[in-house]
Amino acid sequence: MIDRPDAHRLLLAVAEALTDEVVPVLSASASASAPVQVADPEAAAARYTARIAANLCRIVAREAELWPQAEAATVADLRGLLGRDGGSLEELSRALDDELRTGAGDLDPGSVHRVLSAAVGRRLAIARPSYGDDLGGGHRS
Amino acid sequence: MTDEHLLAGLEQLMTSAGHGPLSLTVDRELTAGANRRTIRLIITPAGLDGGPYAAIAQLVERDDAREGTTRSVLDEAAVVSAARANGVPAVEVLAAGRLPAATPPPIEVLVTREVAGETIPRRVLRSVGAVEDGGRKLTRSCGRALARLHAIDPAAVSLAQEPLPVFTVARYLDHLTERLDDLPDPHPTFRFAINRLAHDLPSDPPKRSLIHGDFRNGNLIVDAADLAAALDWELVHIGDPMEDLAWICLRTWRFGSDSREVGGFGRLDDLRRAYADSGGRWRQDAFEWWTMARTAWWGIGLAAQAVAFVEGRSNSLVHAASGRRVVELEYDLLGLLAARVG
Repeated sequence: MIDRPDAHRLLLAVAEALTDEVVPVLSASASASAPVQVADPEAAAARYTARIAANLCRIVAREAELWPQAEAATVADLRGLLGRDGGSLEELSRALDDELRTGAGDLDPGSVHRVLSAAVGRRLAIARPSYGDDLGGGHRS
Repeated sequence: MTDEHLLAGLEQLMTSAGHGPLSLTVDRELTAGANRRTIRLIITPAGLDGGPYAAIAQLVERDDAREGTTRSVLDEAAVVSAARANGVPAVEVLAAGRLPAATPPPIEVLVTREVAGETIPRRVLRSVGAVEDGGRKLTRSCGRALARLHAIDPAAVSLAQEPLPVFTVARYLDHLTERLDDLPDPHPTFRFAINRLAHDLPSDPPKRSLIHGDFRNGNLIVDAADLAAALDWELVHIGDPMEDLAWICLRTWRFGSDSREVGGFGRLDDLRRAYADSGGRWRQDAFEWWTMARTAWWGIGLAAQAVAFVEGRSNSLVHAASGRRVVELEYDLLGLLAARVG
């Protein structure tokens, strides 16, 4: 086992430091002079970068936690949809893309939609967990 | 090009457009891209013709070898002026042309009068939320502006350089497929969406219209909770009016204010009514089709930004992050498609 804190904790600590310590300082200098037109554009740009960096750290932290199971579930779904016994996520995604492009597999659109929606839900849980809730949860089929 | 050359060139351009005699200074650089710069100028008319005023100059390096990849600002100026003449809030073009004494590559300039107001999306949302009327006035103005734009006969706009591209539904599907095929990784959600869109084509528009192409929160100058001017006309083309109406309602452009479908500030019903009251014809089936097509396009675009980062053509953190935003557009798209699959 690697020394603690582990990768997950470290990434969250970096995200927190950026959000709580770096962004407020940059926000102060970005809006130091009241009219928007004369605010410091470099500070505003740096604040934007710091926010993105913090968000990316949180994404990577969630990925470490959630992706192994998510990947396995999507692989199982795709094997079922395409009627295959093996294949990696990349191979299966490419195979699905090819079948959709050529129309070869004569796949049922409802089944494709279900499998894609489940896969997207798992990726969204990593990339932006709140996104599905923002429309009141009634958005997905 | 040195600043003295630039200023001399701009002064000559402004004078031949009938705004001289005058003197001008560069106030500051607003943005600097690979082949496009935007600077703020202070223009002081000579004599007693009023006080100094601010103007925005867009400078575009025009690589004639790549003609067609960047629209000429002369054409952009013609479209903006036509829109403004028909009552669309748009910037006032002061001068447009090539800088006279430029050494290669030639530089084209578009000088417009500065318009006061806010363009940064989240600030726009805050500023309209602060007044009692909320975003209704802005929403209605957007509907009216688009109806007036779409009423213009594209054939009546005289273009100096090249004809505007025409987007038909079939051509747009080809365009989406080409963009998708250019990506190294498979994206079955977008492939599936293109299939469904090809399977379920919308009604034809009554006539072909001038389409802004990027009319959305972020490209609108908002002042006193109302539309002061639409910006960024470089994607203008000819096509189906519902494309513009769908684009401003994309969830991406609501900036977290998801319950307000129009740019995060307004209700769809207000937009629809204002558009119809100003003579526009709302076609719901085409609105839905273009909402899906444009969602797919933007998702593919975000994936392409991430590819540019991965392949080392960009070192922007924003482009890196775009790769992890693709799934948001996939989610939106699958939600929109849900009702159309059995």
